[in-house]
Amino acid sequence: MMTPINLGNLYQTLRTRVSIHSPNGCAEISLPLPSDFGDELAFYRLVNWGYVLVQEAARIPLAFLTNLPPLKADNSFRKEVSRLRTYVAHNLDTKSTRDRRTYAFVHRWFKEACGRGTPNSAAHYGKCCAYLAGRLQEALNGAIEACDLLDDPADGPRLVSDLKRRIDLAWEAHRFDPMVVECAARLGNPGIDLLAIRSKHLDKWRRVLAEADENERERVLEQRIEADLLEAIGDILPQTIRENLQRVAASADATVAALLLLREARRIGSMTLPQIIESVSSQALERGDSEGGAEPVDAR
Amino acid sequence: MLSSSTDPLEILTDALREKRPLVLFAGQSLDSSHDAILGALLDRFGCTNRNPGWRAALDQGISASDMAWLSERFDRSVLSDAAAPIFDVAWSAVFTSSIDPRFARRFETRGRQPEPVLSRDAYARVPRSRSRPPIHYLLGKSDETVEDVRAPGKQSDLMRRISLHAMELLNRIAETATARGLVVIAGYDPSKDWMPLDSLLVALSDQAGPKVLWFDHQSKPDSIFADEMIQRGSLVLTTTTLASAISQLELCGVLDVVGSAAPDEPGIVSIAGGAALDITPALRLRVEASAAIVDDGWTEDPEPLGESEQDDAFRRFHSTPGNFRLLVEGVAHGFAVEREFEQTLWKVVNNKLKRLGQPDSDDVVVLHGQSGTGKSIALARLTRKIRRELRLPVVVATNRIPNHADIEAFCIESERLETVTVLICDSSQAPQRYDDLASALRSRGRRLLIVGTCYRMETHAGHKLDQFVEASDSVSQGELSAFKALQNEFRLPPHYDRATADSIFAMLYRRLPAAREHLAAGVSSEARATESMVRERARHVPQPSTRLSPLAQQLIDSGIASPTSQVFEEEEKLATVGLDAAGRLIDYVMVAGRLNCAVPVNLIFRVLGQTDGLHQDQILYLLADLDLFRWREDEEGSDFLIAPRIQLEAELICRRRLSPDQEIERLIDLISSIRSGVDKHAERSFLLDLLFKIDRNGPRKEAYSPGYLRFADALKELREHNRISDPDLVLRECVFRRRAVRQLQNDCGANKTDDERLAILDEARDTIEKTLRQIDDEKTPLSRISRKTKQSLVAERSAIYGYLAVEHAQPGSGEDFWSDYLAARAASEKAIGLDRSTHPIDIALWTASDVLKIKKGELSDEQRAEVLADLYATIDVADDVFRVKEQTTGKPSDLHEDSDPDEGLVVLDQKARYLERRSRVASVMGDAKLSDETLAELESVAPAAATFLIAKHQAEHVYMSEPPFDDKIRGIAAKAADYIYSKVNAGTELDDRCQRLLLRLRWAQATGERLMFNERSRTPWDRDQISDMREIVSALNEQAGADARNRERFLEAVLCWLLKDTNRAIEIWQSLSNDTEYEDRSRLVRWLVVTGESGSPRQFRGRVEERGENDWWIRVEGVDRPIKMSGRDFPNDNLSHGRELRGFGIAFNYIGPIADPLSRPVRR
Repeated sequence: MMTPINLGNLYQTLRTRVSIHSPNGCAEISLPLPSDFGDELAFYRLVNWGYVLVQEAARIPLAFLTNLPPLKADNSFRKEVSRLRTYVAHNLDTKSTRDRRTYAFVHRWFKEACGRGTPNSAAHYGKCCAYLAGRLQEALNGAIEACDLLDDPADGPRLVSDLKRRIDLAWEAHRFDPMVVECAARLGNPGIDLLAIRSKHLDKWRRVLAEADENERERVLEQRIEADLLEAIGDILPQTIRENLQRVAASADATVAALLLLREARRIGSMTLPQIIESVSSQALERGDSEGGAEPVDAR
Repeated sequence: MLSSSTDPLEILTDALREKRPLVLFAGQSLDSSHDAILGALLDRFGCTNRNPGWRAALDQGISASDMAWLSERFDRSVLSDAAAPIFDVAWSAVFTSSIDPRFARRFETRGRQPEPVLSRDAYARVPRSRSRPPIHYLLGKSDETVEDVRAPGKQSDLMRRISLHAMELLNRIAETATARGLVVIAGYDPSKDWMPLDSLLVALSDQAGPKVLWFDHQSKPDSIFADEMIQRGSLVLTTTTLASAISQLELCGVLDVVGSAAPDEPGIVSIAGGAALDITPALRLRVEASAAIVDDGWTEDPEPLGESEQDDAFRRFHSTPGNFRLLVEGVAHGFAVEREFEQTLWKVVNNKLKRLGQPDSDDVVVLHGQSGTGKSIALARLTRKIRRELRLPVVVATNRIPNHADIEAFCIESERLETVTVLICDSSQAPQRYDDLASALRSRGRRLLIVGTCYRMETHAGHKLDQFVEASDSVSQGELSAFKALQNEFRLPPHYDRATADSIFAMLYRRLPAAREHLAAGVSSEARATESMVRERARHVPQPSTRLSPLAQQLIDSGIASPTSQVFEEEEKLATVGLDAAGRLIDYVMVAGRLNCAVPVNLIFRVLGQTDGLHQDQILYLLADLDLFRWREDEEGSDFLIAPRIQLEAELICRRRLSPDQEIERLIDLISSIRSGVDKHAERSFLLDLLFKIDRNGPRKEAYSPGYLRFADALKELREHNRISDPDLVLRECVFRRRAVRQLQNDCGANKTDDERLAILDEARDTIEKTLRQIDDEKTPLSRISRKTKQSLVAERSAIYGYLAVEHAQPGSGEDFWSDYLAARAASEKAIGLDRSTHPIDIALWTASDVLKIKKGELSDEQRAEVLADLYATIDVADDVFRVKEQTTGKPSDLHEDSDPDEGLVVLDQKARYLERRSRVASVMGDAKLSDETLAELESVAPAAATFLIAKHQAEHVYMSEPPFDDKIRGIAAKAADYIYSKVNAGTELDDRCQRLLLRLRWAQATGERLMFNERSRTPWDRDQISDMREIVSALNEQAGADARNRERFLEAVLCWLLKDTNRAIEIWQSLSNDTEYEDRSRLVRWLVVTGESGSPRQFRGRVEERGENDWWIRVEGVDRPIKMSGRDFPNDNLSHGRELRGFGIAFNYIGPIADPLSRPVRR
């Protein structure tokens, strides 16, 4: 029978094993585990702990190691924990399709874990805890066993270097901040909450970073951040951009035309924002006057 | 159509947006984590030169142990983050030179189920599928050791592998991608990869169709094909990597990797009572292979649309056939008028739903009507209403009858929440096919209502009116006003305008009869315009560069010769009558389209290519942007088909362009061009569908009858010369031959002699016998499909023998008809044993009655007695099957008079048809009756037949009386039975007609009821009588061997059980249950219930056992084995393990004994 102490110990073992190769691979988890797996509160705590484990503290090493033998698993347990955490920590709206899906998933999960779609007694929650702890234990045990491969003479060096590279690429949130600030400045500091934007898109940006080619990482990331900032600004053109673009167009009509071109270019092309502005600017200047600038509007 | 852009991102974007087939060719460098593995392998060899990449490893020679070592390394690798999104894209199929055993598993994201294909003999179940993508390992897998599938270890192995397997597999690329699709090459460096560049490109170079997009190419490709392809625009190179392109597309919002593959996020199907259906990704994947699950997303309130958006949506709603979800959403937007028949349909469906699950209820509703009358829209509205008002789960299948096993999985899930399922099947199939599906599911205990569509059926008095709802083609005043209001609302011009009201065509055509001629002329001229557009384009079709000689190329380059050519030049004369390739292209699509069959793209290319040598890229060029055609693809994108815009147009176009004979010729061209390539399933379904529809049971009835023999010959050609052997096709071939004989018989102008006609029949007989022998020789257990096919083949054989017998009985034939009659009788007996539907019974009846009628005065008394006894015995069987009481006979045909012998395949109402046949047979029998004296004399010559007829005559009162029988009637039954019993010396023991009659009479004597006439009939209680009857029925079953009838096997099991021989009983039930699964809708009917001396059901008591979730059994006092019980039958008894239950009965169905509440269970 899995206990909270056993689970905590398992994580410590993994941390130690990983730290031999990558000292900062697994972070410490400050959230306490429940004292036992007996009731609803314990379940809530375990979910939060599990979420921190798979999504924060051991995000990269756990995903990497569970992908190796013996588990060779997909990351379904990570999704499972994330969904449960959304369920216990957020106010879900039944009108939202996404939230309804979360509901459906969680109730299915509960049914599998304790036999009831909606647990309603301490015993039910106890079963849910045991089930979830079992899933986490399975992942941790698999990851710990996979650590042997990191020491394997044939595979060790290759795998360790791969793991390290992945950990290096998993930027901490604050590392994105300078780039966000820079992009926002280019858009005329539209007065939106940059921290909120960063939190909302963090996962996506990390993925962009990991997926991009080594030489293109920065450009692709910049492009993504700009796109997300523009999306946040929305369809309403903020005054600051209008002001900003006045230096490339002679009148209000031309500004509108330029902005439409800008949106179009962003939709289809692979240029970064500065390249787009440069291109729009040169087109607008070529046309010379405001009527010429307004032409693309009609053309659309 | 195809993008003409040369920008790689744009090409990829277009392909993704339009959901065209997307095929990946993945080289060995796709996943950068493999570089480290290669490095390790080369280290192992002590090789320092890394430049030749994977080729370096091959140069060293990879031994079996190295290969095992390598597999282990592959196993211990984690996919690089950069490559991960490539595996997430919804590829239709993948070809790879990688030998990594985990490669295929990488595609197992979001519930997809990749299917590895390792050698040339293997074909994926679906050639292209976004949820089950086939992964072709061109060079084998490193962890395999079997010759045909292992990876090569040295150069010579590689050459062998490429020539034997890789090329064969690569040749499927172009056909898999189809001319519309896109092949993406990624992670392929020809200087390092094991797959030679020329071998790859040669497979793609001959087909200008699929465009090829090569990502991350390092240097100018050194290949004789590459230049050609680049010049032609069919190969586009880019230095960008595929991963980077995918990231950029995601950035631009074109590609949503998470949403693109098969969804792992189940949609919610909320049902009545606030519950929601639990649809796991696996279930969704399974169901959606055949049909679509209507989740809440389909029926949400639609977002309000702006004016232009609304106009656009309106146009799309009316011009995009085949997308059922679009119809449901359009109905919510009010884009269609609600027709009056829809109210009737709603009522009928509601009534059926209320009665669903009751033993005598029907679980099929068929909406029939001409094309263009609004059937699909009605079903879309019905779907929305069922979901929103009744909150029942709905599954939708369009253009096909879904697989019963897939649907069953969904039904089981619904039933867990105590709800029934509705299957909406908009596939225009014969009602019998819906009945078959319903029977199959009902035999498994599923509660499901099928609402299907078919073409307009003639309604007869005998039809069950509540099963059929007609989508009338006449328009009521109310509908017209509603239509006018719709016209005003959407600002439609009052006259037909192609640009805006394409799809209103059918509506206008149907609703404004005065405009029909005008509209027909309009669509016909559109076809002519399309044809001349094709012809015009044909004058400028770029000559495929593969065909150009170097001299020709030089002449073009220097401007002396034209780069385009006039491909149809020599056909100018034909063009004037529309018979050139351009014209035939339209014909092929339209002849199949008027039957609502969309033609597989590869087939139409093949048929034109074969007859004219037309190159595929030219056809593609010709087809681009032609509004007359529509592309169709299924949910998975596995089938690509071309169809007319709407069926009605195809009909009008055919009528104006083609003579009936030309139409038949076009159909034969299509049939003859079927091949078993990667699209074999699509082409097979197309062919079967087409054959069914050109048969006289199809929508056009006898229209294709002059071509029956030629259709059969074309099928024979396929079978003999193209090795397409398929029992279903053999069946169609034989049916066509038989139909042809009949046609020739009716056609006075036909110059075929009797001998020729008989030769045709004989060929059909020979073919069918051979096929049946082959099926029997396979010695493998028959799957459901082949079991059904076998039944049909056996029935067809009996029809052919019947025909032969009747033909030979004709005056002047000079043949000995009697031996033919006996052969036909034996064949019929077998057919009825296998399949107790109208068809084989009908054949047995018409064979005997026709012989009786034709040979009226010429039959000897003995022969007459035999035929009469056969007829009575068949009628007895049929009366049981259709539960006909004797009194109803003799009602002559106010039913369809023109019914003929072999319409059994599309029975609308089997009972009505049987009654009609029966009344006609009765009059023939009446004329031929034998007098008592003759019978008495006959006893010495044909003792068994005479005994049968005499006993039958003696027992006439039993047949005429209503059960339960009084003592007098029981006495009569006993007397007649004793008579048969006393004639043991007459050979009655070996005559199954006598034995069945004896069983029937003994049953009436013992129970006072007819044998298994109603649900929950009585069983005998007297042990001696039970024992007697068991002996009779056991002997019958033993005599019939493998052809024993289900009903008699069931009786034997029940009688054994009553005699406490439970082991034998269970043994029979087990095999009976297996054999009737998916076959016999009466399988779950509780035919008999254990009855006491008083004639009332016996009541039992016992203790409940729970063996699993919802798996209840009861240990009954005095019965040695526990008995199954259903929780549904005892809703008020709060079943729990160990609980004692009293006052229940024991009933029997084809599965075994079951605890019965002795009243009809309460169901929804």
